[in-house]
Amino acid sequence: MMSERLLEVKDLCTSFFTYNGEVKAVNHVSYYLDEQEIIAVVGESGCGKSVTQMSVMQIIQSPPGRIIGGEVLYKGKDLLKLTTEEMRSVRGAEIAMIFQEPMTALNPVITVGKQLTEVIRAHSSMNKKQAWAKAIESLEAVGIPDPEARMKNYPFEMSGGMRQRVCIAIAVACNSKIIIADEPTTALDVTTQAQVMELLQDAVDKYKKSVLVVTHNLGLVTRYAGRIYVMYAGQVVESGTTEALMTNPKHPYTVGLLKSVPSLEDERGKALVPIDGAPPNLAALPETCPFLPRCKYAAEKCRSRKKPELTLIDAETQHYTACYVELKEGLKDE
Amino acid sequence: MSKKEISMSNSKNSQMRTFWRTFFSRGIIVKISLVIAVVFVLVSLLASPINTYLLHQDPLEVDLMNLFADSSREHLLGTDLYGRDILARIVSGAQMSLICSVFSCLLGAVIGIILGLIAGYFEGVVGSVIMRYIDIQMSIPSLIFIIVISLITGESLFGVIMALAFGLIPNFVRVMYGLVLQLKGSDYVTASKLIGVSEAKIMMKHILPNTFPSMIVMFTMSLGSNIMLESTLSFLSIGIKVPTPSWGNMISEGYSYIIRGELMLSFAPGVCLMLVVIAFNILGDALRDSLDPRLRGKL
Amino acid sequence: MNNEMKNNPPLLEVRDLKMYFRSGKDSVVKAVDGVSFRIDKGKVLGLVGESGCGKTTIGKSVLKIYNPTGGEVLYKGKDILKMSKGEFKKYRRSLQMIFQDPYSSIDPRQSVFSILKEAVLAGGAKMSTGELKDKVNGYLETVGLPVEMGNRYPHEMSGGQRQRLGIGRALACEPELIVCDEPVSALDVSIQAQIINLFQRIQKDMGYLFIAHDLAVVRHIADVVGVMYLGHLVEMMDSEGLYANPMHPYTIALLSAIPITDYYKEKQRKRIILQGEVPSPLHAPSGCPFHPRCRYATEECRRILPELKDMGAGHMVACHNVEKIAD
Repeated sequence: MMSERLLEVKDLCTSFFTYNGEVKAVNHVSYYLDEQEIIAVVGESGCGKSVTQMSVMQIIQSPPGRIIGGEVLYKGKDLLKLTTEEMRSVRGAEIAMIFQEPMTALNPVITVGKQLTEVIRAHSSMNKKQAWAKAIESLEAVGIPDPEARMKNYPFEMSGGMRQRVCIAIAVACNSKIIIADEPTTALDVTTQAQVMELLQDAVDKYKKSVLVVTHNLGLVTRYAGRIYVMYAGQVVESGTTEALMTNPKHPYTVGLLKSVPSLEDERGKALVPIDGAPPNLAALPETCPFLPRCKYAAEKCRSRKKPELTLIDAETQHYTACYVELKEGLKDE
Repeated sequence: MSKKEISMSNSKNSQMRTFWRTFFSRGIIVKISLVIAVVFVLVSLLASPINTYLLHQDPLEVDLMNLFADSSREHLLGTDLYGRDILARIVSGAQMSLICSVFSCLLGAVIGIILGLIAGYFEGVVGSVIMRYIDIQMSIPSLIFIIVISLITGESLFGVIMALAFGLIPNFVRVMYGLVLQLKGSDYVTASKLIGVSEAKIMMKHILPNTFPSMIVMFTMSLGSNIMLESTLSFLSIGIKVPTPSWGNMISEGYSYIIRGELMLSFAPGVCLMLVVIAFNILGDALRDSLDPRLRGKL
Repeated sequence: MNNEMKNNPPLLEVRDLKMYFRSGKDSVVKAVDGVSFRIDKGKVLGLVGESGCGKTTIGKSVLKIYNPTGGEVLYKGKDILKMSKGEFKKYRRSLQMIFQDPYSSIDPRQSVFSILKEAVLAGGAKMSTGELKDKVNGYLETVGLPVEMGNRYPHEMSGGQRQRLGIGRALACEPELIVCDEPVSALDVSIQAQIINLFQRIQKDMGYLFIAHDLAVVRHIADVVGVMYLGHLVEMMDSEGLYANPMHPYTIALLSAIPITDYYKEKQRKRIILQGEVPSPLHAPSGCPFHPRCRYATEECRRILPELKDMGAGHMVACHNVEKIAD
């Protein structure tokens, strides 16, 4: 028997029921997160990477959205079976989420200090004074200079990076085991991005948290994540350790993504290799592989068979891919 | 049909479909409102044929032998204090309301849009003058303003329309001014400047059309409020002159008889007024949702 | 020498550009403070920097959208800032811009065809309907949009397609210089590559001022890269050298802050995590704008603003301690 995962998502399906039909935003997605690791979910906008996390937190706007299947096991317990009340105590206390635009997660008319103490008190039995002290402590922990003065600030008086730190501070203060970070650095400047990611790394090393980062930034993933899940059209198309995925990608989409980012070391001026076309309409997904229309390596079997399942190709690196075409090692650099 | 035309008509169709979907997304209430509004407009347009051929009644015909009659086959809603048929007067009154409200809204909207466009276009002195004037007019309660104007222009249909239109101008100017300033700063207007399109053309082609959705919404909402205002003026007997029927003066004539138990005189036009005004407001809301969701909460 | 310069001036030369905004009664925000650079025909200058560094302000000043507080913007040797509206008219269409947001930069009520038609005709060109149609379709083809798309409206297009349309609109003016203000940062990774390739394909003799915060993108497309910090150019040189041999401490930190996708190399890279954030231009530090975050800052840095100095081979650096850092 395998040891219990901290968080295990199995076959999660979330759809949005719109006038144009059922949009399968999350289509049988499975992943897991162990203690003290950083994993990344990578994909482009509309691939369902954020909706997956919002489904885990059960903060999908409904209607039109609905989780229609699957399990979200947190320490072995299925979160989808909890009552609204029980789920509320999981959010924040066990699993915290931080967002791309931290302003939306903070209340604009209440000081940062008050928000922090409120959250701390909601998840513990501390009195006001203790909570206030704990809040200052957690602001300090996320590297906010002069935390006592900052407690009296309103969110709009802080910079974007500072606000993102406050959000992380809230997660740290509540002792949440898991931090789900949805594009935490996209709205930030390059140097601030690095700071925020280092902070998340710290949260793992010092406070024994587990972090799931949702992002489209492949570089970020390479640097910080231990394992990666690549999503396309609501499905995981490839997953494995960062080393395996980055050095030996097997799915044509992953290969394409890696080739389309300019690197600091390519030969300058050489044309990039973009992925032609655009992602499919999630309301009218074909039976076949969703990447087929944009795939350079498509073979006859891709067109005639149903969409490929995720299959293990290397047990040691836990490398799974959903593709019929076996990409050869050399193909990446062709 | 060529391939191009197909793709074009498809896209237009899908746009229309989205429009209607959003329009009716508030449920049955919007449909009811639409029915009320359509009935109101039809009745107004066909007021005299309805009275002559359907009801066989003349809204002005006094019948002193038949005062305060109850509902009967001849007089569906009974008669008033002069024995005139109440239903026929409501039908005629509807026409009055529609005429006053449509023409005053048109006049107010056209003047307001032009002034707002000018104020936004010439941000400097001209703009300030216009906007300060609007501030002044806004600071005086509009009802007082309207009463003064309708007293000056005399108690006539023309006077009422002028007064109502005048009261409406500031609303249109303000919203228009804000929109023009906002659109003037948008990237696509900058882009048009860069490609060498003249300022006047940018105004007419890129800014004005983009204000239309909001303006249509405002116009619809104003229709309802001006029907209300016309009735208010007539109620205060400075609007439509008696004996010409208007919902306002009907309520006014009837309300002193309420204590005698003659409820129909005031209540029938009152209920009509309420339904029509609410219907136009709901339609305005629905239009806003489908034409210009950005305006939600602003109007 | 002087004569030669006059006869053959660069496509665009910016000298000592200053843009101050008044903020409140007596505080002045120096969004751009003394920036100079040049762009030759067919060359790409990349401007990199974090938000608030003034790169967009420079872009808009070059296009005469803003009126800078001081300095010169010489287009083919003539100062466009001093020109009246009438004089500038004949240069207007030669200077174009691509916007960051593909949604707000296109009039939602115009069809694709009419947007391009306007761009073709706004210069006063007269042509028959047939010619016009051919011309518009030509531009659609150039930017990689299907000709049938002419009847579409912007809301039916994806971000990438809209950005192509924006590029087509600029091309229709037959510009000689295009200011690209973060043209790919709002797009998805796989679409970014399509647009970057498009920029390279259509360039020919045009000069680009390519503004972006993504160093990898800028390095890929630019010939010369200028690094900006709080309204100042802190380092400038040809892009190959800049990435191989950055000298300014800010550039070094910026480069190390960008993670790369090459797994083994990434694991070996040294990370320099800068402390703090870019200060608000309202409270710009004295002396060198970077000194509060700089590891090498000295008393001199706090007092005196370093000038851009040529360190050889056109590598310009504004730092008092270049030699020290190099060791």
